[in-house]
Amino acid sequence: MQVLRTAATAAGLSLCFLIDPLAAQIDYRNLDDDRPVLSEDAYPVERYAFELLAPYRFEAEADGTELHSTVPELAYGFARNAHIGLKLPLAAVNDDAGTDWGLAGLRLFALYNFNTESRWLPALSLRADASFAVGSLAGDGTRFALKAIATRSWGRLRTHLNLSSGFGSDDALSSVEPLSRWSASLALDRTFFRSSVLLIGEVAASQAAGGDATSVNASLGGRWQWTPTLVLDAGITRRLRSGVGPDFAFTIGLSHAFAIRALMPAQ
Amino acid sequence: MLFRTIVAAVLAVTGLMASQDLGTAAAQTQRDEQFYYPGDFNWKFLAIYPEAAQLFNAFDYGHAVLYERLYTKRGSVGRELEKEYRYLTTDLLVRPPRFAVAEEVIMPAYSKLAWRAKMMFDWAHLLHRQIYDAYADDRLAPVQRDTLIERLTDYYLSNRRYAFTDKPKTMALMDEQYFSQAFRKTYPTFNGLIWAYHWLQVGLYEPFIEGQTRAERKSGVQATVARFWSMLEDPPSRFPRYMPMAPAIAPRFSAAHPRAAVIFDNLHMMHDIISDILTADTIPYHRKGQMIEQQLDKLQDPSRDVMSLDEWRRMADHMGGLPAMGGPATGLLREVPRHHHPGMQHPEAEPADSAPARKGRPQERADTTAHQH
Repeated sequence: MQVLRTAATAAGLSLCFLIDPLAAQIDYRNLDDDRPVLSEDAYPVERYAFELLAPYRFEAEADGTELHSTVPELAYGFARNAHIGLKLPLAAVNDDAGTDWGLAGLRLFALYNFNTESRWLPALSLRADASFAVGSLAGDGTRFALKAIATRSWGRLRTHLNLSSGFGSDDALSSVEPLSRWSASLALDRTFFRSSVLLIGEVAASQAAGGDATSVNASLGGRWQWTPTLVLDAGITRRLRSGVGPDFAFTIGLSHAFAIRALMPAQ
Repeated sequence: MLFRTIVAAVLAVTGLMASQDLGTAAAQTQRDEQFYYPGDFNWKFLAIYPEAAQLFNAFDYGHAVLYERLYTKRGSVGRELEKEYRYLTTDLLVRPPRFAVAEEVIMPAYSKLAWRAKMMFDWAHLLHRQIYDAYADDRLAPVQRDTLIERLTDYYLSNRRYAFTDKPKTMALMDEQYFSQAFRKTYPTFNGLIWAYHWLQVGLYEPFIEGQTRAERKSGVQATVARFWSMLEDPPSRFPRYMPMAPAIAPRFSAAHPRAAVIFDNLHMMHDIISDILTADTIPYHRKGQMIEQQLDKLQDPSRDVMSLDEWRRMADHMGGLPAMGGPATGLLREVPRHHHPGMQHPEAEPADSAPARKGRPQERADTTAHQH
């Protein structure tokens, strides 16, 4: 049954892209969390815009576990400089005991951007997440996180600092993108404006739950404006500490921004 | 534990800024980006007329790099602009980017100085692009297309923070302030290039209105783009001698959609005003941002420094007429008007179609079988 649900969700997502109802934004520089690195930039989805993300991620863990996941995400710019959104992670976990499929939680989030970058200050944002234990791979408790995000640019280069603190149930965590007890990441990206490409490098550290070892991972990725309506991203990740984090992780995704006429002024 | 405490402290400070609106960041300029009006007409211009649509992406770079150099290279602006002019005319315009240029990347310092101006330009450029998309969508009947363009203009104006007024602003704002004309007098060649951009940006509406079939529109667009290229021969002699105004360059479009045409004239006027502010020695460096803000207020104010629509329509005649603004955008032009700029030597005028086509330029000369308007 779970497999059927997963297939139905995937088919629905595919359909969303195929019908292409509305146009999207030129947004290859709009760095979303986990697309393709953990860090995100401080800027929200534009007002009135929806952004739909359909990623795939593969992780080979140090203990031999393999994780296949997709985290469909929808964000909406509901007000100036703010967006809200939801994620619905789906995963397949292969380990010695076999393969488990299922929903890995339901996540809601909101982000507010205080300012655009000025001469002296980086762009600053605050993000809040809530993760609910919905699905067989979602863990056992509800968790919350607050994240501070800063983005600073120097021409074609930008840096992004993300600092996050999680709280709530420390019982079994979700198999996919759990809200860690804390995490910190620093990313550097470079824009190639003629080819509409963004290349990103990142170092990220996190502790999933109290008492867990701290993982430190390095990632490289890119975002490419494929068509006026689609951005393709891809990235790889490797742990920097032995025994914690993925031996290897790979991700690829598509993002699509659109608006709904009925929700806009001057219809 | 220490790290988590630091993270918590950072979050607490950020949260305080959010809740009390007391933090420095909260007093800063907000980003305020807004999505464009949706519809499946979007991106038709790029899909069907890439030779023109992609040029506009290069134009965005040209505007952006101009402001960045004027603001940051005070001691060597002339050399820098010469270098950028060569890059633009021999490389970027010849092989323009497929998609819009991220202007913050090109003008990081200027963006931080004048974010509101950047947003106002972006917002108006978006209207430009969407109106071209409406014209390029063959599925729209003329009435549907015109209705859509008016709706796009309504949507543009609904964003009051960043919309130029749709009332025609007096030319005195551009020509008669104490800093006016500083840019065009100091850097006539680059200024001519910017005016050539503006000529194409408004003039290109005309072949869309004239063409009855997609083939006619396609050939008309190519002819207008070819005329733009011919302006770049022997600079600055073929460039517009005065800022192209919509009623002169795009009379049919201006008659059909006067609000949008006025907005574009106000936008182009503001382009020139900012160039002058950034060039003028009479404005101290530390006051340039403030002066830009004041001028933006004026360009958004529908009640002051305005002229009537009739005066606006006749204004081109007072400014030297159509030939001074680059000539018509449609019809036969054997020769693009050639002007003698003060202090520059130019060879005798040649027919536009006698100049050799430059390698890499995608367009042929203007269609010599078209009729004169």
